[in-house]
Amino acid sequence: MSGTDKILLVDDEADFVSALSERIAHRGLAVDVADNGLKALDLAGQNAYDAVILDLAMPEMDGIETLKRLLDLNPDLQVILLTGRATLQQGVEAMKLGAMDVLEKPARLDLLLDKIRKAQANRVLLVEKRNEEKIRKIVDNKAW
Amino acid sequence: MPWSPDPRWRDSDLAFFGAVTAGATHELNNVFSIIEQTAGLLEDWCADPEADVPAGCDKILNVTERIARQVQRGTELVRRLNGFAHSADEPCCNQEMNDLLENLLALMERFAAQRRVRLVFEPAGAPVTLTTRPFILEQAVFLAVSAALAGTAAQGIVTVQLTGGGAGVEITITGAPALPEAELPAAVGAWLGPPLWNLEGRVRTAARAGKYAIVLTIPKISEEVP
Repeated sequence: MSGTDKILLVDDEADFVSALSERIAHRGLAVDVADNGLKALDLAGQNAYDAVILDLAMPEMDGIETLKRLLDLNPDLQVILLTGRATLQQGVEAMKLGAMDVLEKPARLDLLLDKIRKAQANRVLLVEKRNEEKIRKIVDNKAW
Repeated sequence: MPWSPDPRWRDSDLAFFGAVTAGATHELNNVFSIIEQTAGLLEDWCADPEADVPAGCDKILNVTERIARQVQRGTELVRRLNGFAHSADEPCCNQEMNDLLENLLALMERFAAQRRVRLVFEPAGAPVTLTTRPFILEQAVFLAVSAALAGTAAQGIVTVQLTGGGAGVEITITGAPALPEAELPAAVGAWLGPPLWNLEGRVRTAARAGKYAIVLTIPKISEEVP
């Protein structure tokens, strides 16, 4: 299984981002960071990520709005919401919108890494599915 | 109505209490998350013989400073939340107004930060003790400031100024509106009615030349304090 081994961490708490990104990087994943939704959208438009870890409560553009826009940009994106304030309603809304999972802060790193691995597997399956679809289209067009 | 904050905060004391508590506990969750991940970082360094830590005493100090900073932040939050919770102890009492407002507005900073608005408190020059209903007064101020935050554009400033003395105070909330100014008086009047009735107070609004003011006039309550 091969993904990009790269994730995007979106949170406005600088100390949290600094510690978590270093810990994840220590485990072999490349981490890009954004402290708001707009920067996240910008980075997601330029890079391929195995997973996006997204805070729910952020200034300017909240996590739900950022989630919507990220999935508009790339419907296959695997987004894990990591939040200190997930009401049941918000969690359900996020899942309905297409989030892969919702975790509450403080979340253990091993749990988060499990979710990232699941996101990587999902992403690989989706890429394979898209490739199969492309090949099928080519074969159909050539009438082989 | 665009200036309206969450209507539940107006209709129920409990919803207002819940909103403030939820905001503060969300902050506490962030504090714990930072401490957990920062402590985990130290564990990672200790567990990895190749980590460049022995040479990096500064690095360790930087991390422990981060933890200390978050402990201080958490302690401050708990102190403020505790003060807020105790404001419901006595329905009517003699209350030092600078302390009450400073505490409430500090708990509201996250609400302002979410809107990228700065909340500034200008206390009275000297202590002001007023006989009032502190919890209801907090609800009134919370609603008025929430309305101001809802009506202010990102990067704006909302200022809360306290003036007056033992006979009564004025709490003046000012800012620059991003929403239609004409809708301000009706909106503010609609939500502040019940708490102001209980406080024997009144509200007036003014908006002109790109600025608005919401002025709460709160007299010394006529009821005797036990």
